[in-house]
Amino acid sequence: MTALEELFRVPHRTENPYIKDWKGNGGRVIGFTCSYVPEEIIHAAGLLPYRIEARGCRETDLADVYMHRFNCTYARCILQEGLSDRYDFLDGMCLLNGCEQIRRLYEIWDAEHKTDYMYMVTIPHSVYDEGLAWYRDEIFNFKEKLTSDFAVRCSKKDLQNSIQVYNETRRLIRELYELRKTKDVPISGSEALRIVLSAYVMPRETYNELLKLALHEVRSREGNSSYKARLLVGGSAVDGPELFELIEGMGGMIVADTLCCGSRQFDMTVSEDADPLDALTRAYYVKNPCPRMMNEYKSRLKYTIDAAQAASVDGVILQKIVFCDNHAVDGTMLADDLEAAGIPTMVMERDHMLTDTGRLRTRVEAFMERIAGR
Amino acid sequence: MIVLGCDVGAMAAKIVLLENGNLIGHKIAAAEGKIAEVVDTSIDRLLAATGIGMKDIHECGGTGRGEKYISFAHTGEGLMNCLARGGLWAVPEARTIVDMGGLAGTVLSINEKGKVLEYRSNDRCAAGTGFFLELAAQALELTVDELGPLSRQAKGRVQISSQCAVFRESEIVTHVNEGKDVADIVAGINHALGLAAATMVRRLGAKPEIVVTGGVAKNEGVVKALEANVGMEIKAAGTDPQLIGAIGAALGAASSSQRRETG
Repeated sequence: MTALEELFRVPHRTENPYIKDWKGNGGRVIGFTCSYVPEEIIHAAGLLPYRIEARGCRETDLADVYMHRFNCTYARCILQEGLSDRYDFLDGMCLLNGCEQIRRLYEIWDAEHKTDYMYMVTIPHSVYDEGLAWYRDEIFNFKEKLTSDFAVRCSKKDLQNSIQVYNETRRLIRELYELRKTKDVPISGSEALRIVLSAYVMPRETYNELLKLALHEVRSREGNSSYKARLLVGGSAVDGPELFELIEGMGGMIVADTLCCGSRQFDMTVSEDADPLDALTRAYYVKNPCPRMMNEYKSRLKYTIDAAQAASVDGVILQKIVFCDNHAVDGTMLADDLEAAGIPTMVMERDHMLTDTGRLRTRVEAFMERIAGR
Repeated sequence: MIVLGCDVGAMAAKIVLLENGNLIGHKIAAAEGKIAEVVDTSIDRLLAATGIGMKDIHECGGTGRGEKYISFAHTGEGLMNCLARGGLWAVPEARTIVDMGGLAGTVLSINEKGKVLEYRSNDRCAAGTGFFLELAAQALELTVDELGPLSRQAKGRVQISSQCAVFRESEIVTHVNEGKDVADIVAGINHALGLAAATMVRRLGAKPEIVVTGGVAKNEGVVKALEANVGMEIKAAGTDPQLIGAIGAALGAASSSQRRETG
């Protein structure tokens, strides 16, 4: 199996050989969700950060006992996987007040004692100086609690090393995104997404080595130009390739995204010169913002337009999970402003469990007819 | 003593006649058009069929969301109490009643006297109701009655997991267009409904015996899915489960009449 094939695999959490090896060697795994949790802290403490996802979840009957069906399916699917004991490999869990759904998930996860170590990092809802100081305190407290509860060290040097490792990932993934800007696209959006998602499920050093090799393979691939339209996908968290596969199955080619688990996580660099905690705080706080950041709409719009233009897209699909309020409000505004900027945009509602595929295909097909060959 | 019970639900009007606590006749009619007329006509037909005159009826009890459409004098009571009383009439050991009606799914926890201790309801969502079964049957060009037996022929089960009845309908259409086996689709529909009911039972905490009532309870596929997901045996009501609310209303009217008479 080549490095590229290995990164396409994105193993299911219950059959993840990297987790098995890590745990087999006495390693401990910390689950986290939300792109505002600085993974470097967990990594520097010698623990394995694992971005929580719910790939493969098809039913939410256990989660529905605690969360009503008008909570978002992403949070409910994660809870379902937890309640089904499919996250038993976690030694700890760090969530963030990214949205009310995840905050609620934290409370239930904690109440059900699914993981012994639980922590919630909080971040203000807007970007300002006092907020920066607050967030720094939060990250510092998280580091202190993590190191004391797990009896591990997390020195300044450890943090500097982790920042370098993670910056390397970001640089490599940006390279991958650059390769997709050409007319002959060497890698489909769903394949690229698989590569990106793999970053969250294996030790980062291993990932970086695989990604370096995989990039060589991508460069030597023949490009594909037989698509109907070039697309950018934004909106709610996407944790598996199925949605991208559905869109690309209709003739689209996803060449860019503004997703929290995708470009927004990697389109930043943490300073390697400043104090590591200061550097992490600043980089995560002011990065390309999630819709949960209330005063940042203009920068989100600019980021989306810039990404769309850089990748020469024909249209934007803003997909949102039903009941995801952050992306519902933002998506509506973005759609109007992107259209006004001359970028055709479609707003698509979906569930995390992608079963209502006929309706989605019809909508994508109609959008593609509108924008193809413009 | 003969008492009449009438439960006017969102999709059907159910009328029963009890004599000394025994069911001696019943009538179920679709609650469509002018519902007050449907109720009146149904009662006339039931009386004609059983040979009982209005003057023979000692007391009348009414319940359900359409209780206001019952034109004759009756004792009105909330559906929860009627389900509890009717459930206990059907199965004396019943402590949990799972009512799967046209408009809502409700789970009740009751005591040995038929008092409602607690309940959960999904009355904001059609995805777990009889109405969804109607939609599903229409999408498959079947009748609702066929959905239960058909799931017995299923070799597999398609996934129906949208959160909304309307999206679920389009999910079913997708499966049909993809050429999936109809029996497998029906099994998926029944499973989804059983799972939704099981979730409410878990939320409340299941206490045996569990009895299912309501029109959806006639669908064996849904009941089996509920049973499998709750992990406890579901007791059959022993009579048409759709009548339980009306029976409870009749019994309630009878006991309030007795209370009046005994002073």
